[in-house]
Order: sequence, then structure tokens, then C-alpha cells
Amino acid sequence: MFAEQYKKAYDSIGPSPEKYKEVLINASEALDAAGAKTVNTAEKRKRFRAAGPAAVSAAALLCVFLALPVCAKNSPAFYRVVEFISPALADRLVPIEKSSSSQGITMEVEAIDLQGNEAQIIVSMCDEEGSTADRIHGPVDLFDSYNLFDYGSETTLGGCSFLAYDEETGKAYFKITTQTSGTYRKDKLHFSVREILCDKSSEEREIDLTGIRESVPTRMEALNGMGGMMEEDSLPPSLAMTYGTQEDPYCRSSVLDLRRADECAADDFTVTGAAYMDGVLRLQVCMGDNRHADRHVQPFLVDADGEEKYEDYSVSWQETVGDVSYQFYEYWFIGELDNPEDYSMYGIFHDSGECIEGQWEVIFRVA
Amino acid sequence: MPFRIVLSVKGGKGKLMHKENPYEEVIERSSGMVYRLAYSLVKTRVDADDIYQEVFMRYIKAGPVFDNEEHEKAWFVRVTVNCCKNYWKSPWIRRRAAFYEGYAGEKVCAPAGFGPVFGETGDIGSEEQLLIETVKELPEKYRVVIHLFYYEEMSVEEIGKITGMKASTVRTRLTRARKRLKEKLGGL
Repeated sequence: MFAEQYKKAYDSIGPSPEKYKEVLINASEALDAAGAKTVNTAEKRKRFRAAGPAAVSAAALLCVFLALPVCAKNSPAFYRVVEFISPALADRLVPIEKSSSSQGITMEVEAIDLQGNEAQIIVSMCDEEGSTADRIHGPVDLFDSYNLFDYGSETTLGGCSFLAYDEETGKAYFKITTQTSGTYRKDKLHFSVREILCDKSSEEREIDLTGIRESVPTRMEALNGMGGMMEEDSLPPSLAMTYGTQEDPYCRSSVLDLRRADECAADDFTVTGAAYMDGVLRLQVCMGDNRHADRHVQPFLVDADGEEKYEDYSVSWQETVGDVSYQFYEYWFIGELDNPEDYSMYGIFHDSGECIEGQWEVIFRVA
Repeated sequence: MPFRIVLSVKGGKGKLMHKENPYEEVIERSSGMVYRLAYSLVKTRVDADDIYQEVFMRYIKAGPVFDNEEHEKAWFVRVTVNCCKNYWKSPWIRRRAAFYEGYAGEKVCAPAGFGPVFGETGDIGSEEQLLIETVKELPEKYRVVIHLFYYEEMSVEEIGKITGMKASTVRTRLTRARKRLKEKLGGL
């Protein structure tokens, strides 16, 4: 009686036609690749594209993942990445697996590690099932639009790093670190993302310093950003800033008065000029309208011996023309250059594609 | 062909028959058995899907040559059981299981595909469904022997040989599993 019932019950269980087909396709692929006698499944299942600026090189990550036994598939891709980068974090992660869809994209909070006022959240993004838009197909950026809220306090500090893109599942994984002023409550947490930047790319471009001028008009500009390795107090007099007051809260600084916003591209980089004055090499770049993009540049000054130097300080400001708000950066390389013509410069230009605004939010608790 | 000669069951006794893909016959023949065994051990469709795929990836990678149908079946049973054991060893899976067990205790829904979800076994009667769910509640060591004994109709000795247990251990586990099921279902 039990045997009959058990058989009857399990007779109805089997692989879905899709899964069966998938296995057959795998077998066919193995055959196709079979000049050799054995099939290198690791090669065949090459599927990860790891984050560029990760703590370990992408090549090393790939080697490790691809060397993993296939059964490691039982753990999600991010878990294997995290386990490799930080076994301690992997051990602390608590599964959440709650998702939210908006604009044809599904966000899933995969897991979290909550320690006092700090949280490390593993989040994935993928095209919604059935979507043909193919928006998530590589590294993407959450554009600092994420927030973890425990119905008491909001995130006060945060950071987001791209972990890996799993080509098989089409999921892009991120690790988000947040901090709040108090201790996070565990019984009800709300995680949200508002913007996603897709199709990020970066390109190395030469920046022409030929005929660099040593006398260029400057003007004082109200800044919306500044920073660098050098303290403001140590900046040479020619770069001295005026600090904001109650009446005028903006810091102001001298910047090269070269091309204005209406001469620049709204959706691309424009190198608006460079000058070497008073022992400072200045490079000015307009990023176009950056409100819904993330264009930025990392410039490097290279001396005759090939030594590279990062900028010592940079300032940024905006200029608005009609509906377009142009973002400018000026990079300062401080120090006497014996012979400026012996120097060259290049920059890594980071561009981003489509910015998708949506409402991805999940509520969960941590057991 | 590059890999192996596949003895065909459908092609008739002693007759060698190849489909275009030499793996296809074996996969077709073992597909249901592997999936059902995986499902009985890992308990969810989502996880059974993973194990199912994993087993056939191993098969394709290893390319074993089977002496006969029994040898083939034994190989797939052993590999499926091993894959399920590895699955449970994964710290992520263990933590996930513990996490949702905690959830279940407070009647909070676990995500789709995880936990004992009724209705995922298709159009079967409520009695069969209850039976499946009851068996799922048994420890894994009992589920293996129950499934192989009752569904695959393997003898105690065969189960012992494939799983690496003594026949007496298999017998004891079967007895204990039956006792537990009897307490919950009656009959047996």
C-alpha cells in the first residue's frame, strides 16, 4: 500500500522539459568541443566576469572560480566570490533572498551581515524574467542611490562595490556597506535602490600637453566639490580658496577661464584646457551633464622616465545652460616641472550608459 | 564516436544504437530516476534542478563506460547521492536552511522554491502529496533508503552496495523510517 502510494506520488515528479533540454544542450556542447576525449567543463562553464577594481585581480578570481567543483553551483555566485575575497564575511552572511522588480529589472537582496551600526548587504540585479530589454549584461552601478533604513535611522555612510557578473543567470552582484548613527534594528529593515547605471565603460586617452600655455586667465568659481591628497592649507597661494560664509556658503577657488559650458558636449567629455602656471600644472575637463550619468576621469602625469603621478588636488563646479547642467573638474598637479615639454599625460575616462530610475525596495528582517 | 559505446535498451538486446548525441540515450534513460532521487533528498524543485544538472555535468565530464544497465543505474544513484551530500555540506545551504526553519516556525513565508511548498509536485492527489511531505520530514539518511527501496525497488543489499552501507544498516534504517512514517501516516 505504502509502496504503491509512494510510487504514484513520485511518478508525477520529473525534470521540467526546459531543464531536460538544458542538460541535452550541455551534452551537445560537450560533443561539439570534443576534439579531446574529455570535456573540460570548467572551460565550458566559463561564466564570470569579475569586478575590475576588486581587491584581487579578475584573472585570479576567474582561476579560482573555474577551478571550483561544479557542485559549488549549489551556492550562489556571489557567495563564492565573497567566500574567496572574505571568508569571514561569507561565514556571517544571513540569507535574505527577497526581490523587487521595477522598470523590467529585478533587484534581490541576497544576504546581509548586520553588526551593530554597520551592514554589509549582498544585492543582485538582473533583467526581469521575460524581459527582452537586456539591460543588465555586465558591470552596472547603483549610482549611490541605495539606502538601508531600519525605521529609526537612515544610512549615514555607504559604499558600493561591484562583485561579479554571472553570465549564466544574468545577475550582477554588488556588496553594499552602510553605516548608521545608531545600532541597526533587526526586526524590520527596508532596503531600496533608486537608480541604476548600465553599460559602464572606460577608455584610456592621451591628453595633449603640446604647447601648454604658461599664462592663462583665471576666474573665481563657486565649487561643489574639492579634495585630494594635499591639505587645503598646504595649497600654493595661487590656488588659495575662499571659504563659505553664512551669506555665501560656497567655497570659491581660482580656475582656468577657458571654454565655457556652451562650447562643451552635454553627453561626452570635453578637455577644456591645460596650463602650467606658478608651479602648478592644471587640467580642466567638462564631464557634460552628469546628473544622470557618472562620467569621470583619472588623469596621470608621466615624466620623462615614465614615472606616473596622480593629481594632488581637484575641484569641481557646475555651469548651467538652459536645462543642461555641465559638470567641470580641474585637476592640479603641484610641483615645479623642470621642462614641461618632457612630460606627457593620459587619462582613464570612465563613461556610463543608460541611467534607469525605478523603485526597487524590499522589507525584511534578520533572524 | 569519440567517447564511448552506449548500450541501448531501446535498440533491442545486443543491438548498438546511437542517437546523434551519444549522451542523449543515457540522459533520457536516467533523467527521471536522477531527478526523483534528488528531489526526495533535497526536497525542493529549485535544488533538485541544480542537482539534476550537476549529475549530468559530472556524467558528461567523466564519460564513464557502463557494462550494463544495472551498472549505469548504480553509477547515477551513487553520483546523485554524493551530489546531494555535497549540497548539504555547503555552508550557504546549511545557513539558508537554518534561517528558513526559523522563519517557518514563525509562519513567515520562505522564498519560492525553498521549504516544503505544497502544490509544487503537480497534479497529484492530496494523499500522495501528504505522503511526499511526510517523507520529506524524515532525516536524509532515512529518505535515501526509503526512496531507493520503495521507488527504485532496489534490494537492501543493492542499496548497501551503492551507498557504501552494510546491509544490516540499511535494514535498520528502513525499519526506523517505516516506524516514523507509521506514526505519522498510519498503515505501512
